[in-house]
Amino acid sequence: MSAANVYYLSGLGILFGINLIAIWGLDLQFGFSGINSFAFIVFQAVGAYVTGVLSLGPANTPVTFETYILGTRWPWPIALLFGGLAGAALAVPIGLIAVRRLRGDYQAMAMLVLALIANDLISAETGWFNGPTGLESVPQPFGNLNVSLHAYHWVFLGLTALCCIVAWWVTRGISRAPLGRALRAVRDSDSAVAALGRNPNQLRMVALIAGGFLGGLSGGLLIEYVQAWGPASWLYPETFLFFTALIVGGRGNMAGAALGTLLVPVGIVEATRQLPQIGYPGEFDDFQWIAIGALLLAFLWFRPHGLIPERRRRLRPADGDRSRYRRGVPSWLRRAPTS
Amino acid sequence: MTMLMTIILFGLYSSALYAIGAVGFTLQFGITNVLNLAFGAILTSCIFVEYYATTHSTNLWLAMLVGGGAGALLSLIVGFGIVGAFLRRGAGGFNIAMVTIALGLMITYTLAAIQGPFLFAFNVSNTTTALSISGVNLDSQQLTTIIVAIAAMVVIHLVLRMTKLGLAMRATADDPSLTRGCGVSPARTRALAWLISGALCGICGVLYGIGVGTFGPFTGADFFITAGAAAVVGGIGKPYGAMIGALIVGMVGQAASAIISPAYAPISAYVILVGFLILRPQGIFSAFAAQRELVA
Amino acid sequence: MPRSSSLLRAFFAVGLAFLAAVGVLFGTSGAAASSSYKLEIAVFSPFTGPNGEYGYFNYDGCVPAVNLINKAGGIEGHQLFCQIVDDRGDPADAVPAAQNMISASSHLVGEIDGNSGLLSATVPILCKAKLVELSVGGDPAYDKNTCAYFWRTTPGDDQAGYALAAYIRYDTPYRKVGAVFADDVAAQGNVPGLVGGAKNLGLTIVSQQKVPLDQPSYATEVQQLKASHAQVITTESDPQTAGVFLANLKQAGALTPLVGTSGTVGNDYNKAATAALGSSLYVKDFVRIIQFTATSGPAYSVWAPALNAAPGIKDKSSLVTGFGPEVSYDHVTMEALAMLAAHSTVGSVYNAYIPKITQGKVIVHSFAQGEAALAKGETIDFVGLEGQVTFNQFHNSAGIWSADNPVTNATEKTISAADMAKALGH
Repeated sequence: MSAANVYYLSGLGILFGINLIAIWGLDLQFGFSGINSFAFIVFQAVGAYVTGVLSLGPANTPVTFETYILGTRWPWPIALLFGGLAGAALAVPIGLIAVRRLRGDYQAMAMLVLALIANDLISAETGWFNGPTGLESVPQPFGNLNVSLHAYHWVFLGLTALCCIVAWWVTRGISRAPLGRALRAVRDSDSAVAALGRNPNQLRMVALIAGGFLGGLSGGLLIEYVQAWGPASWLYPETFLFFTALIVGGRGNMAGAALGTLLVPVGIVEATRQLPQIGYPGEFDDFQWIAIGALLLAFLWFRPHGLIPERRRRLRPADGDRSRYRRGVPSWLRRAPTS
Repeated sequence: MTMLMTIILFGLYSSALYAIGAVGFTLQFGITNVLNLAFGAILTSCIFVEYYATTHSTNLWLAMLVGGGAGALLSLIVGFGIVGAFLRRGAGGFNIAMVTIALGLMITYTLAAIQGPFLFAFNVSNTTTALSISGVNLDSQQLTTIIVAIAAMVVIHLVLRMTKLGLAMRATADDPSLTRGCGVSPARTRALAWLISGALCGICGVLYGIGVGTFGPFTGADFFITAGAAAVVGGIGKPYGAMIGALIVGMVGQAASAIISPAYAPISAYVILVGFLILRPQGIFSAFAAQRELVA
Repeated sequence: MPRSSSLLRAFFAVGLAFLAAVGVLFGTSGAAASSSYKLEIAVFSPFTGPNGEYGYFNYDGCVPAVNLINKAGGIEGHQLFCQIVDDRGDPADAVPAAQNMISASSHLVGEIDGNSGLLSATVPILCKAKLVELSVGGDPAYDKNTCAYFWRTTPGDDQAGYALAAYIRYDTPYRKVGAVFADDVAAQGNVPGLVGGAKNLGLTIVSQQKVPLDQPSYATEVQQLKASHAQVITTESDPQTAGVFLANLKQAGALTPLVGTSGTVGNDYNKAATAALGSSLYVKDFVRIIQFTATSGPAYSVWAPALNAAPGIKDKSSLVTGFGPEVSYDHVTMEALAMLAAHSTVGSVYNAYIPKITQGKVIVHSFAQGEAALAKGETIDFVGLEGQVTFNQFHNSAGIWSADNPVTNATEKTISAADMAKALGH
């Protein structure tokens, strides 16, 4: 395989990692907790913007022509962390508006409107994040290493993998903890959870915040990779892409989310870039969205739970079988039953 | 004074456009409990159909006939046919919303694939002033839009309150199983709901398309979100609520443009909408904001 | 069936399918080893999204140029072709597209683009790949370009505003200016120049409005304009906004002469404006300030037949005088001539010849003429549809501003360099 192809594949790998973190975040909000988070792209956007303004340095220099708030030149790990935190922080007002008292389709509609408002607001308020132009020339992590373009991809891929491990750890931790069980219970039945004495809204907020953190983290990584970010990159339909990934791959479980990320944002979107020109030039981009719509319909018809459905969790008998830690172990590896 | 009259008259015009769409959307949502996110795509398709079928006629009555018919047909296929099939298969509320999203994407991008990135235009340069108050002119197309919107509201209200069909629709929305037990065919009610909302969608589309003059494959999508938001704020299934929501969007938009700055017009409207959602999430007229049983 | 094995199975199946697909796609792309390959000129512009029209302008200029080059024998015996690369108008898509463009093509020799708003994201990638790039992108940051491979024959968007001011001051009797620019990247880029130029030239901006895109009515904005008694209105917006705004303007009886920017170029804008105003009013009242491109002359008489002969291009009558296609034609021709002069298609070798072919002794107006002169051992100065190109130390060429008829693109007036200098405050 030529060096150019390796370069392309490493780029795909980076995009896969970034999307995986975002989709795990959405899985926390939607798959585990049942929030119709149609404003998810805004979490990614705020993470990207905050990471950007914290890395770019002071605004309005003759070099950058950009106006934005903050404008510090913090090292990239801190900027990334704050990107994630910004996503988590944004979850609070969004949650208060759309999660506290709204359910179902109301929630979906309200979230969509919030996404639209956010995009319009950032476009209009030029002083916040440079308006419609967006942020550009964002410095890259390890950017001053004098390496070739190809080699830098491997560096960034390593960074992305590290962040994926963090995201995996967070999501898995929540999924396996009692919090995870509570979130699933909230998704399945609000009133049952309330009857048991826990506050379903509070639990939803936790899921929203955790998912928001991951969304923000993925946004921070994305702006550090692409080095630019603007309102055109986070229009509200982008959220539908993430949802398609969850529906195709399987919601409510991490493997399903990973599979969905491989197939949808990476697979279809990138693969259709490779297609030769059909019809008049530029048509393949339209076909991509038609393909995504068709894929979505097909899965919703034939396999609405996705390729890797969420496992039915059963209570195991409390007979000393440490099932909580053995759940992930394949049957052929388990010790044979003693009786 | 001129500015005030501008705000009022053009606020009414914008509100009228949003109102027709919002009422169509809320009516269908109210009766079938399906969140139809393909509404914007259907709206755009109706403009295209009218453009081609009538060779870009700007005769509003012809346009509404053609557009409304196309909308009704398309809406029937999408809602009654495809969504109905998914419903019979047992799909739940969220999955149905995703189905409509998928259909919307497919319709929009099929239009884009056929059409390319180029826009089409209606020739609206020969308009005549129909109404002139203290120096502010409304042309005949804008006045017609306002009148059609008001008429549509009145007709919908009368149908829902006074006719047996309207009664059947409201009953089906409240309790489908019981209504079925009373001998009202849910399939027929459902089909009529999609038909009527589709017709309103088409009418809104052509009025918007001719009003704006140019259109492309993506014209309907953003317009629809605003109209849909107005409907949600007014209370799902309540046509008067949709009207109030549309009035808010239209009036606040024009007022904000004049008082604050034009760049803030759409945001101000949205912020008011969200404010309403925070204060009264079930909508102005609704009693509750929970998911109701889907009409299958 | 135990759950874990079905999971494994699913993973294996999908993973294999994916790898197979990748293998097939990549396997076939690297196959050609024969000497009859074609050289690729990438056209890297928006082909979808709100600026989707501009990509086609670039492509429709590339194709006739490449046809002429191929007819004259190609470069070093190889034919050229134009490859469409869509940047989709936003940075998050443009960057993967740029990477794909570099990695997927085996014989990419040059690039032309119209990536306004995206240069900061894409140029560093192309620069590291040592790809020669001739751009129409208007990002002001690239007025001080530092990439050796980046060349621009049109000034940045920040200059456009000054040209508007210069035109109004020296070519019209008006002094009270209304500015109505849409709330988007490209349009707002004109505003600082307009404000600065107005200050330097003693014009008054009586109304400055940033209008949101695609609203159903701009009546209040129009009222404000009317109340401010603006004598002339400068504007840029997307076609749909323009259609509504101009219709509202006419309806309110507030129509004044209009001065549009290069962002108002294109069939869609013309369609919208004509639909709103009617074609006679539009042509009478609207003038477009844009880079000069020839609508007659020696270079044009080669270009126009080439465009008309090119297959598969629609709407040629408006493209033949259009800024986008003409500049793109020039750019491709320049890259080809530089390759000839350098006797190489390698970017790092022929890049140095891009300025050289505009500084030579023999003035040529087409690829064929240039090839003939180079074969005789002369140095050439290519004067194409844009006129004389002179690159400064930042690889930018100032170009000439002209005021064009919006529909025919005929140059009604050119703005002299002296007037521009005064607008800039020199």
